[in-house]
Amino acid sequence: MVSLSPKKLPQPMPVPEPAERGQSLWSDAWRRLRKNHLAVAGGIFVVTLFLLCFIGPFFSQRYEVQNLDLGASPPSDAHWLGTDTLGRDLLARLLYGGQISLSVGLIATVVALAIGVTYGAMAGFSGGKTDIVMMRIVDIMYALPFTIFVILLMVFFGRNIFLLFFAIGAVEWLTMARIVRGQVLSVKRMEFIEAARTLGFGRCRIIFRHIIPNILGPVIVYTTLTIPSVMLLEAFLSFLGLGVQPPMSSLGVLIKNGADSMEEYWWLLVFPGAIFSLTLFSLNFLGDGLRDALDVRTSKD
Amino acid sequence: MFRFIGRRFLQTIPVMLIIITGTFFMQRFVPGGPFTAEKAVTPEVLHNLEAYYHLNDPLWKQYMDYVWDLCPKRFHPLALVNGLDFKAAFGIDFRPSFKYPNRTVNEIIADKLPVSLELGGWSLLVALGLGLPLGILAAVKRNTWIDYLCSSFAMTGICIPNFVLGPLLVLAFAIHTGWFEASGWYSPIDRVLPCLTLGSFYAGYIARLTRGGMIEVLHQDFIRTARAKGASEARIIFHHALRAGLLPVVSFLGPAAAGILTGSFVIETIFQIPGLGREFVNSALNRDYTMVLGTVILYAGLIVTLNLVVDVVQVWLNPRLKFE
Amino acid sequence: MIHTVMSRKSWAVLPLAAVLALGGCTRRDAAPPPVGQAVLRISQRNEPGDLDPAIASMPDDFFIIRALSEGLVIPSPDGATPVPAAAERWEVSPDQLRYTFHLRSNERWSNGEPVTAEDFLESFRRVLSPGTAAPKADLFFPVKNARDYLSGKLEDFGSVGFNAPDSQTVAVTLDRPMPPGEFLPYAASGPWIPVNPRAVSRLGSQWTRPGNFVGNGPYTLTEWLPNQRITVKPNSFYRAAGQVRLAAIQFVRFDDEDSEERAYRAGQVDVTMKVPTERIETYAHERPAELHRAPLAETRYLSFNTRRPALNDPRVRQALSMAIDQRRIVDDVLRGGQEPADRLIPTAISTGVLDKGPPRGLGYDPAEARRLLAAAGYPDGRNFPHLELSGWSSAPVLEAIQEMWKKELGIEVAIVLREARAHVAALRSGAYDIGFITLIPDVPDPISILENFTTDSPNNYPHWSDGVYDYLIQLAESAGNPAKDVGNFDAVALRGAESLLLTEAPLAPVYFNSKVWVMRTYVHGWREDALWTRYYGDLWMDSTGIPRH
Repeated sequence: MVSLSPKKLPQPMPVPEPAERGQSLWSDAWRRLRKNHLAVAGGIFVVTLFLLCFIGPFFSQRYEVQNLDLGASPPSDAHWLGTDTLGRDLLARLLYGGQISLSVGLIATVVALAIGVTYGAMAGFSGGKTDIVMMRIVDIMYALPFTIFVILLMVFFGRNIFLLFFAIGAVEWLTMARIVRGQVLSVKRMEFIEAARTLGFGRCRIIFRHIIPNILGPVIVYTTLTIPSVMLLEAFLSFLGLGVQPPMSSLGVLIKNGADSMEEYWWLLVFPGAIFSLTLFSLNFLGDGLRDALDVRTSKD
Repeated sequence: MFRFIGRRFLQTIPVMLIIITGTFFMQRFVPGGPFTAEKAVTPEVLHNLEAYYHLNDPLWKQYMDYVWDLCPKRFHPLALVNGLDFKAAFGIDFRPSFKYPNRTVNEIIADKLPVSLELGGWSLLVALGLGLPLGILAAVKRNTWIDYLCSSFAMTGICIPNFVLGPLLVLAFAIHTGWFEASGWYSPIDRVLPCLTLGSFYAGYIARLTRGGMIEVLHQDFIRTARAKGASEARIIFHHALRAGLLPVVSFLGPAAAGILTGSFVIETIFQIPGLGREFVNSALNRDYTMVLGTVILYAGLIVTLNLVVDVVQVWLNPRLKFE
Repeated sequence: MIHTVMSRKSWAVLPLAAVLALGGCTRRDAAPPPVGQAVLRISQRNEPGDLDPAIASMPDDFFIIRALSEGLVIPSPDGATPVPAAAERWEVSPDQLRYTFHLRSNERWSNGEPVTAEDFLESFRRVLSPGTAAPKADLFFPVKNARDYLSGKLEDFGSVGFNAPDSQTVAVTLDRPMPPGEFLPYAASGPWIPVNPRAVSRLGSQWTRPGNFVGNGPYTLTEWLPNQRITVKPNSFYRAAGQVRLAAIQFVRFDDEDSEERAYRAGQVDVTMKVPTERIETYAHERPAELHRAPLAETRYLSFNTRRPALNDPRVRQALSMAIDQRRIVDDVLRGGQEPADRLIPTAISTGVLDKGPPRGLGYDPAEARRLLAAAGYPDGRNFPHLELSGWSSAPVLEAIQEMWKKELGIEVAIVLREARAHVAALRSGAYDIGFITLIPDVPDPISILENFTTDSPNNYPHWSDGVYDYLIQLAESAGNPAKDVGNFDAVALRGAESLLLTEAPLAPVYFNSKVWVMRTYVHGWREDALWTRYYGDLWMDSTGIPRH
């Protein structure tokens, strides 16, 4: 029988070693991402391409120097990827074109992101009448056919490359806003938000510290997926003849010119096409990988 | 549900009005007009042309006249059967096109819409037929080489621009092997190449969305319960998971269908298909004011309708959602 | 479970693999087609806006219209004086103010009715009515009072210079004396093509639909699938119906020159509108008999906005003009058989008089160009303002010119490609520096080209004003002498005007465009002139390649 003398009070139990080390959301996600080989490959490709396109032009030939005597010539020692019909080095034009296309993609996406997330979060969080009005506005803008709208914009403002970013960004933010709003709506109802509200946290704090981290997943994913669709849009505008101004090139312009002469000068299509497709592949896989990695609900592997 | 639909319908009217007004005025501020050509028309001719098209009236008057023409004035829905004649049926007059003065916008759209619908419809089927199986397979075999293979294959449609894929297909299957015609929309077999090209693009998106949706669903508790209860894998995938997994596909398909149904400019140009896609681009480039407005109204109407359909289908698929 | 899914997937892959594996290399267009009806398939680039000759404005509309109807006279394919069509002969009054056309007795509409002079007059009245809003009504301006009737100043058509003394005679009174060589091309132009007044009044705007169309040309309209194809079949009432040997002509639509070329290779079309530049050499090597080139009456030139700084100095403009190596551009960039433009009036229409000691442009002389630029105050291009070189297509040509100016003169211009109508609008309003633009006359008459640069002309894109030039043009237009030859005032004035234009250089002609197309060897009798006017009455196909249909 255990005596109850005061000298022998029960000792506190020692705290057991934690079964797992606690990990933040981000390191968790990073670990999962690393396991997805396609996404990793994609990421490496994109980073390499970025470096090539932004640093490469310093080391390559000039992209606008013409050589009318030479005309279009297949890959050779002097021109590793061949030349186009005006005798310009294709490698240089490809690097420079990649720069333009990636810039268009990035900047348009950032514009779409900034406007879309703010708008969508505000709509979703406010709810009620504000939400309805804001989403009606999005619906109206959605119902405008993009093609006509962009053509009219480009014609009105001239073919300024900055306007190109703006026009595309101004269309992509709609989908982003919708996605963000949807996510905010579903997160808003979760218990931990109620808990936060009960605890008396202010609105701003709830939005920035609780809601936004939980919707970042789809947002990041969609961002990674917007860049390729912006690049495709830019290629479409080049197809229409409304792309960047010569002698600048973009991947879209290069591919369009290459597709026109694909039987005579195969290199004019193959190289830009390959880079374009690989970039899109990589960004898409990266986006998918990020979504898999960041999605809290599928984290229980 | 019918109250929901009714309310949506009423909400559409101000939306359409805003769109029409915006487009109407936006067009007029773009440089160049329908009669701008390298050789200027003489002043007398220009005066006559402007009088014919009422371009001499003050802008607000032109706008009011146009909106009045668009208002429904009667109700004979049966007249729609005869070439979608909105003027005979509802008194809605879309006016003649600037580029084709003897044809009304109504007529031109009625001519081309069925073609675009057909092109879009078959392409959607191709997209679903390619995308759904690839997506499901990739989700079920997540992170294995099968997943990578399916995802890559599906991605090809997105990553090769269709103005490259189209000519490649034509070169391979029309010119070298002679299986198909290089262009045209005359016999049923002409549908194959265009729909393949257009469908492969959407197949990629559908595959990825299906994969994402299925992955999300497959990890939920009720799936685990079903497995524990001994349901077969096929039943789990197709009966339990698919319904919820298709949700993102459905919400994507709504607006995408509007895009695909109103034709694709690139496909129509490459394969010479008399669809609406080219009208969207050409009417803007030609400054065909009435045609632009006609196509915008059509597109907006389609989007609104399809959004409604999507919302209804979503509720049916996921009973937890409710009509707001 | 998974097996079923996998086998389903491989089941989908099999047909694809099979198709790829079975790909043979049959060249469709080389296979001899079975003998059938002789249907000629011609490629059509743009959908006709309308088939009503009064309302049509684009050459593409007239491609079809000219198969269906003909006017009093039609252009001759070799650019000489127009030849008889509905009219079998005509007389010119000594003062060259009156032309009397005598219609053929066997001239019929496709519904059997005879074509009368009253039909012609009614057609002309219709075109000139303000309410019709005919875009090309200005082609009637040589006729007395036509302009006033069109603007509404005159209400009575009777006072316009048209008269029908009897059913077989059309008499035209002109505004000023014009020799046949100058007036007849107007009578051969598009809007002068007649319409059947009864059909028009009975059917209204539907009269141009298949089955309704009534014309007096070699073919009639039987099918119009919008944006796909238009089919015409022989008109049994045509005056020379016996010479029409085809079963039908199909105008097949192709928006895009690449799709058109692929279709040609696949055997779907017999005559194309163009050959993509990259493919010209391939065709020249592999199928030279099918490749055709013809000059067009089309000048592509650079317009200098003479109101802008630096460009207001003729020396600068001359320097810019002389630094362009036109031969290079034509041979290395365009490679389509175009011609360097050493003057403004295209070779295709400057036949005859004006060739005797014609004015030559400034030529290619980079050294002189540098000297001029230095004399104007910009040695080696220093301090030269940053100008914009704008256009709406032809990027390679612009890029080549940009490079040439940079290399030879040391100046930098930025290329601005605008959308087509925005570009024209900018030129018209003067919101540009240097613009690349095309000049196509309506009739093969040098005056119709040169008068575009008078002070008042709306087509004066350089916004250039020169009193001497205006006077010379006025002189050329008012003087009407029996023949335009050397020693004749008219021609001297024209030559002087063109010389002045080229020397003052408000514009720099770059090249004369040409048409390059492919046509099957079994097609004969193709007649098309430098202004895109075709005549279909002589077409036939030999039996070596009658396509199946």
